[in-house]
Amino acid sequence: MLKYIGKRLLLMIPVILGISFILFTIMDLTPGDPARVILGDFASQAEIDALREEMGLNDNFFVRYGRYIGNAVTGDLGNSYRSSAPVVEEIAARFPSTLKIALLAMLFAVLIGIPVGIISAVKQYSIADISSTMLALLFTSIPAFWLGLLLILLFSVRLRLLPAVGSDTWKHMLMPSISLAAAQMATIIRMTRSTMLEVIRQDYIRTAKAKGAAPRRVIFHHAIKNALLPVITTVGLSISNLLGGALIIENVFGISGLGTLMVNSVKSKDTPLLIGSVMFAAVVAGLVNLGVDVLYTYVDPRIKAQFVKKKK
Amino acid sequence: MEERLLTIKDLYVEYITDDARVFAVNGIDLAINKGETLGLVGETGAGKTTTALSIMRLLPEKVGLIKSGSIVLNGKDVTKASEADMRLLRGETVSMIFQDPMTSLNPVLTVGDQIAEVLELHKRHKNKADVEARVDEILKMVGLPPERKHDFPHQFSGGMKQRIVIAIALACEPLLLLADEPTTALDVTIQAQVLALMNELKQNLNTAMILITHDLGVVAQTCDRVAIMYAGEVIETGTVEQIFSGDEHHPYTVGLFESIPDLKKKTRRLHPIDGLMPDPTDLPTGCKFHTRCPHCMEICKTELPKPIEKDGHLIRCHLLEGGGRKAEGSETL
Repeated sequence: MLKYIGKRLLLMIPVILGISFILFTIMDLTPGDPARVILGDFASQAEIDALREEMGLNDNFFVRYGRYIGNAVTGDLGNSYRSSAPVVEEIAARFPSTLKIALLAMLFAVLIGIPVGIISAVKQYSIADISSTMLALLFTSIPAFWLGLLLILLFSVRLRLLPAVGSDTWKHMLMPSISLAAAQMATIIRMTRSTMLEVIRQDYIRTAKAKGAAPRRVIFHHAIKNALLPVITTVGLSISNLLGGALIIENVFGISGLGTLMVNSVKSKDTPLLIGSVMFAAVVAGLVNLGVDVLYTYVDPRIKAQFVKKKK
Repeated sequence: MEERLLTIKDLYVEYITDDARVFAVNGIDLAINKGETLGLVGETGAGKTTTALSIMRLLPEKVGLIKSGSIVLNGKDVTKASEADMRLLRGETVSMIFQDPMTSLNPVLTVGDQIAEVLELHKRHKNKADVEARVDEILKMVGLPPERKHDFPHQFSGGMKQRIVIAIALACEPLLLLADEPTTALDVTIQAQVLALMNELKQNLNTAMILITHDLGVVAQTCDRVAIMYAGEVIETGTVEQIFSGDEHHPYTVGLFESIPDLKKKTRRLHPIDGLMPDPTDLPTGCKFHTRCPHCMEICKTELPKPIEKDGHLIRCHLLEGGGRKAEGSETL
């Protein structure tokens, strides 16, 4: 098992290198001079030239990329052009808000999505099933930012129950995470429903019934574990959607998280900050997916058998 | 006198789907005594599995319906029993072995847990240790080492899985075992082993069995009596001797036997019965077999033949009417 985890961690290295290379290239190709960004509009050409020389901007592209990666390996992602603070610190300051929203959104999506999906499958074609299907359709169709705006209109403007902007208390987190969760919840509902429908038609479910097991036991003891496998995959994949979605949602709710950091760094051509934060998000997504794969082995003995040699 | 265990009378089962009504079982009568083995033979779609699922009341929900008739199992009519009563019967009084052992076991539970479950559901033992002891005992009984109870189904071969399925079915020593083509999915050498095992256990536990198969060789080896089904009807029933060697048969039975290749005769081709089973959504009138019968008469096309009985050998065919046999109601079997 440890060997497998190690292998997966090693596999993340080329992925991250690839991401950094693409970003580095794009940022290099776009117009705009970092030295001018740092020094401002009133700096003289001589000052800019001096700074360019100092920062090594006149070096060959590959030399600069190599230098960046070399520093990154030691944990130094460079300094932000705008604030001149280390990129690592900037990310550390912003990430907790994003993480809170994403986790809360995930929690909503899973805790509501899975039970609704199961009920929907067990009571196929019932009123509950039809309404959950419609709900899921609605949630996948609504863009997160628009749902966020509607929530602000209702809960902040009309009812004056929840604050519209900021990220200080759990109350601030509620609306952003719900708007973020909606689409994921819909996916999880649909996924749970379809896999559950498939599982409850399996022969082993009939075997369980033939033993005299009650419907509740058949669902909870025999069906759920089998049905959850694809759902876990979906949940794992949705983490990257959540991080991506946070980008928009944070702007809607004025939260200073990783998303706003990325957007601002693009606007100000703050190359180190952008590459650093995107790479960080990629690492998080990679780790979550690794966690999901490890989780698999606890649910399905067949997958576990591939990694673990038999004891004895 | 032998004791009657199961009596099915005039059973009609239909599958109702959005686009069709499937007449799966059309008025069958069957009876089985305690400890007896009945072979239920017929082509795919003849209604064999549907009959077995009706006894378990495990027809697909909202689709499969018992329209009329009665199934009296051990003095209780299962067509009228409540769902809670049925749960008590399933696994305890009647249990079922399904066709494909590969898919009959839950992949995420250990086989020991799956055997223990049926014992726990029917509260056979007071504590966990007794249950475990019984699981070990059953595994030994079906010829598997008890220490393998901690393994998952994917770690077993097909034949071993079917042994586990048999272990689950027999754990509570049921009065009736429904075996739905238990050997079809296994290769031939394993088939023989599994059949021998089932026979032995059946004998030891005095369990009655309905063996669903289309393999007449298996029937000859294991059954006391045989019922041949065609298009949802039992067209001939009798003892194994009567079916295999009696001189009067339903034309369909004759066709079935003729389609078995004979090692002694030299033939270039097999002799299948011409035509196909009638569409169960649109069954012919009269005798269901008349469309394929080589001896079809006018009356066959319009009138359903009554069962004609001689020494417990029962045939539903107009050819035999007016012959040595006398027509009787469906009461006798």
